[in-house]
Amino acid sequence: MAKQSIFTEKYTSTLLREILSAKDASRYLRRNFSANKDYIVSNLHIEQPTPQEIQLQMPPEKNLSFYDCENSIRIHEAYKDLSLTQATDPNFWAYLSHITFWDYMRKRYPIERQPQDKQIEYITRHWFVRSLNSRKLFEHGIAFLWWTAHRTYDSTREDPYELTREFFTMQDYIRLILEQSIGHNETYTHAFLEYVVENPKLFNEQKNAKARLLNRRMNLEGGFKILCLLSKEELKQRFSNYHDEIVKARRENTAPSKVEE
Amino acid sequence: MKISELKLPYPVLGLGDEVSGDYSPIWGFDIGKSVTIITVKHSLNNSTLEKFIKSKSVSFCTEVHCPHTVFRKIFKTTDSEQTISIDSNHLRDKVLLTFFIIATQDNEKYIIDGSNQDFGDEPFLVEKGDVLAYGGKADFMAEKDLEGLKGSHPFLIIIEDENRKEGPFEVELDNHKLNIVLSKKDYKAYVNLPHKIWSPLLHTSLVLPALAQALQAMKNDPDAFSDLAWCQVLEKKMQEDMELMRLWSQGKALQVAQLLLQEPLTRAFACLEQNQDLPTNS
Repeated sequence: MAKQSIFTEKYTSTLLREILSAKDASRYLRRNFSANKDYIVSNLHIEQPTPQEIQLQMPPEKNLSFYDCENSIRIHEAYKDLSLTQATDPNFWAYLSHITFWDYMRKRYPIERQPQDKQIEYITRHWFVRSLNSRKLFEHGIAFLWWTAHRTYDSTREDPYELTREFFTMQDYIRLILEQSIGHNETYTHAFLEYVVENPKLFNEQKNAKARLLNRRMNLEGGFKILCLLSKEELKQRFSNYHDEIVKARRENTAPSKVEE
Repeated sequence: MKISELKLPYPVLGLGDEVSGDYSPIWGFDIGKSVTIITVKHSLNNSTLEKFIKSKSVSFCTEVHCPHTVFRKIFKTTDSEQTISIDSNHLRDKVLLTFFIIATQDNEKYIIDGSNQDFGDEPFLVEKGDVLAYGGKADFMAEKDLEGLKGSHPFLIIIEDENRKEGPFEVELDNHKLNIVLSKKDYKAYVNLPHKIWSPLLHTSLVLPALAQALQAMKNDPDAFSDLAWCQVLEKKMQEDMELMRLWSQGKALQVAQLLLQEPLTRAFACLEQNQDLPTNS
């Protein structure tokens, strides 16, 4: 099996510099991206999937996130053996977004739809991993797919991607779970999603507002309690303590919360 | 969890003068290629908590959090000596440790010896997961040499500006590594220079001003770069050296940069003296 190609560190830095100092986004509006092959190397520790294994679905124009869930699962399956360290390599993700998945990136993140003065910033957010805080990592178009599946994958379930499918039902989950420090704990992430899945009537309506409310309550608790210590069942028990409040939650009652932990 | 900034509704050992006694973990680490070992000696001096540790109704806890790999896990034990093994691939850059003693079961009548009299004599309700003692925070760097980066510098990279034929070099601070950006002309000269001989000159003329600028920027706005690998590496290096910390606290970025680079000017003079008859291109 072939080894995974990635950009060199210098090349990723150079590409980023070039787009940041460019007058416009024209280079990223082209059909193909021409990369300097001298700056493509092999990561001997990552197997490169076959083209069939990493075929992503192209999103429809009117619903760009339509295939996010399916593509997340596909990418995760194709790169299942990626270590956490490998999955934070900006050079690896830059190669995937510029070379392997160029067509997909152009469709999923249509630069033309952005105001002209925002296009370059848009490109740097989705084609590059500019820093390794979780928010920046999850803004990258391909890294987001892999990491979402990775954080929600549960091998103990009949469908190990059941929680991944739940995650993609609501965009707010990115902010409520993935970008939060407490969401770095796998047990908590699984417990939160599982609680929603196991209480469909509770979250049938006003799901955003209810999930946000639960998030706010748990972040208050996380300020003085080691939530990471609790088992999944214990966490879900704590979630259910807020059942009556959740029932009453409505959109106007819940502003998004920034969690400090 | 910023427990040190909280006032909890029950006394916590290690927060101010809430409880007399002591909880002082001593820790160490060893980063192997496949496994990282963290060892903790949980040193505890409080009769109530010692009793509860023996009965296993409370636990020592070490929280390991690596923000850059989205890894966060609690490791608990009732042994005073704890060894934690983590796959080294789960860690990169700054790894944060926090030490607690926590309740592992609910207790409706929690009273701790030595509590400040402000808390009175009544027992408290504590629940599983509640922090009963705080042993402080620590961190270490799990620097990674990712494939494709062999031989690379831990916190800076020198690149070419393909849009500029000549002109002064620039330093860019908002990436994982410090970018030193040379004009096409200078980059060509840099690449052709025999680095083994002339590296002290490069340290003085390129790296030193870049590092000094970066350090000054860190001083001016400590939070702006804290997520970036280069900043974390520099912070760690300074923490490990008292002289560096002293100079840093006085705001002497240039002196700090020179110490980090092991007196580049002195080395440059020595290099020039040794090689004054050599050509500068290969």
